[in-house]
Amino acid sequence: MLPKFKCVVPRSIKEALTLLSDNECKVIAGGTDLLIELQHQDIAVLLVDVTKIPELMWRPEDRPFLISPLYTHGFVAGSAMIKDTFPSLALACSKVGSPQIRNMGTVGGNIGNASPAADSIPPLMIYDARVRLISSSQERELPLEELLVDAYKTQIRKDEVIASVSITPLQNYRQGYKRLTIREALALSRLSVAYVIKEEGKRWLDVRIAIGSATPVCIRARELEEALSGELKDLDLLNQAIEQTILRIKSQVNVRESHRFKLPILRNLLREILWGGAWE
Amino acid sequence: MHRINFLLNGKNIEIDVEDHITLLELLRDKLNITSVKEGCGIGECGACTVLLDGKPIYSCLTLALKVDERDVKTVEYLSKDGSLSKIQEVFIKNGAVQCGYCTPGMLLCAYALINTKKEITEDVIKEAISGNLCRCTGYIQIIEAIKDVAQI
Amino acid sequence: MGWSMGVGKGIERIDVLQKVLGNCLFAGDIRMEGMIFGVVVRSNRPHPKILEIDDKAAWEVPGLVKIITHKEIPGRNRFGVLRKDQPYLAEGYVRYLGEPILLVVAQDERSARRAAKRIKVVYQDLPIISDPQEARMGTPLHDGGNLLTQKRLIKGNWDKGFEDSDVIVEHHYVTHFLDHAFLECEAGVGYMEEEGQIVIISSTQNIHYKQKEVAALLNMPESKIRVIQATTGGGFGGKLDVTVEGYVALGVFHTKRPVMVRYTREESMLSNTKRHPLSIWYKSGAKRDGALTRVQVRIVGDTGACLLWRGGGPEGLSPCNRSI
Repeated sequence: MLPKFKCVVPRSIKEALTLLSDNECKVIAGGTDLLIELQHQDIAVLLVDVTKIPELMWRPEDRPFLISPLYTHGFVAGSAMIKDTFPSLALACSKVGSPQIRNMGTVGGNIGNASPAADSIPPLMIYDARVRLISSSQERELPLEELLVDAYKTQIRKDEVIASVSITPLQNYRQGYKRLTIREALALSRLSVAYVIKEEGKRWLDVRIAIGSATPVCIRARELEEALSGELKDLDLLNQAIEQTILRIKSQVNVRESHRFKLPILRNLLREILWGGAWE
Repeated sequence: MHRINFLLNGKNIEIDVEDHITLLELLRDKLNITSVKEGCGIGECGACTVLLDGKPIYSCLTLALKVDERDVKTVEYLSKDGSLSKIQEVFIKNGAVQCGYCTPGMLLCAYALINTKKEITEDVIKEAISGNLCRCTGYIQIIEAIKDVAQI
Repeated sequence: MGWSMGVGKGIERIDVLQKVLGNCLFAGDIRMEGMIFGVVVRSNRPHPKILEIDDKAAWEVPGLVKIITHKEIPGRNRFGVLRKDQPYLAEGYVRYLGEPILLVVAQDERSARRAAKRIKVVYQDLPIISDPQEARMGTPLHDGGNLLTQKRLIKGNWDKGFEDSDVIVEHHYVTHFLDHAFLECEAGVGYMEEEGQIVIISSTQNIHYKQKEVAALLNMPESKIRVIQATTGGGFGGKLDVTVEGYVALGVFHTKRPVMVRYTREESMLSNTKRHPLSIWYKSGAKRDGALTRVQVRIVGDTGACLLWRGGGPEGLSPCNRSI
């Protein structure tokens, strides 16, 4: 059972931001993460439901490269436009939880909750997502990589709301999202890789990889990206670059039991994505 | 407290709800619609599934106040004109009901699927019920029932 | 030709229509006028002595009707299918994590759960044995010792070794506690009729056994206890033991009002009987052509704290030991 709390549903962004600056609040969008969290709590909290704020909602056609924080995972997965322009994001959102979760859970909520296993975050990262935050006193924009600080921790201040997420589309890239789960649905990603790759003949032109669920915060595999982008395709080079990434993951995280299976699988996933078929 | 106005199985309902009550609690405890079940309370089993604006959601993870100005359907909607819908008939015919606890949720997901413009294949059916657990049937009969009504 | 009426024919379940319409009543769907709600307060320690129970804070919750401890049990505070060795409510000490200590009854579920959370129990931890092997040697927790039963099964020339084997495979295997995970958690409603008869409607796989247990619990004749199976959302063996029925009965007995007890999934998983975890030492010898020459198996099963059909809580204290 949920503890007793008050919930306000502001009808304008101004109303919402005033509430956030005047009170100790928690923002609720879909609520699929928050309501579970609240079940274990006893403290009274003021919830501010942001789903009816018109300034936070628009159609993809009207603002093509700007993701509304109120887009549900289901909406992103089903939008022809987003599937076309940002296939890695649409694919990732289509895997979240279950249909019922996808019909309520939002991208804004996914970012704000900042779970290490959040599915929308790796694709947003490879599309160089920038997050706009607004409060009643200021507006600011941060790269998603900077916004996420630690597992379940972001730079979002108590009086701020995610207003939009801007991402950059890429033409002629191979784009996708792979994740490791213990079952096909209602499963958290144990490991995930979002990728966009531009190739021409025997050369990698541009490689971008984001890895989720291996570290407290999703990471761009920059050492791998730099090592491969522009280079002739070579298996030794690839393997070396992968090892750099593995080393970095290990250095970021103290001994993690799950790494015993995650890291070998990550190696194979990256080889599969970048080399294709048999690599041995 | 919120006064909400919403469509429930085609009828207009106006009611005061406390802020912290879930849609599941509203339906079961205040409106006596006990076809909506609680199986886990954390959005993992699907027994609490209802349709919100035609889309399946977990009512145990939805605050009641969120359905203001929206359209809620429970399994009662399928037979609201006094006769069984096709989807209910095929569930009976295909042996897709054993203990019956998952049945309302499964029926609603199937109903929602049939009403989309999606092309229906066995994989699409499996995805449509992927958020609903059944501990009795092993799912085969439920999938066969939905294939039956989709005529594939 | 009665016997041919069913064979080979598709027959509809008698309640399938209600199930697809959604109007069949599972125990948790039953509403009765004046119905109040019971919540079991459970131990959050595996094996302590109960030093003190403080319910002052609980009584501050408006709507609290009654708190029932083992002292308020009119009859036998023990149930179980094979042996009556499980208390409904703990008497002075706790044998497993989640063991019920008392029952809180209040006007509605929210008040009952709030009051239940406010019960303060002072524990003194005792040393625990959670491994069946240790329990064989350890302090007896049950009458007759910790060894429930031991069976030997021997066939063939048991004093010949593995000399005839071309291949020997030896491993130690472990299986786990399994929860039945029926989709509908345990639930029951009870009420008292004019003549004092107590009726219990619950999610259950059996009724006669539970009628006997409740009669013994309340020290009432069986003719005054009626148990009815509500539409039940799965059982798979996990609703054969007494689950909520005893608590519903106690609630009704003491308040004379209709009482509902229903478990959340967490309560269900914490309290429900489980399949025994087994520790299996398995040594097989075979010839090259696959013919088995000798098999030697030793299985130790963890029955948990109490017996029931298979065992009580998740902390194993009394083992079951079989050798082959």
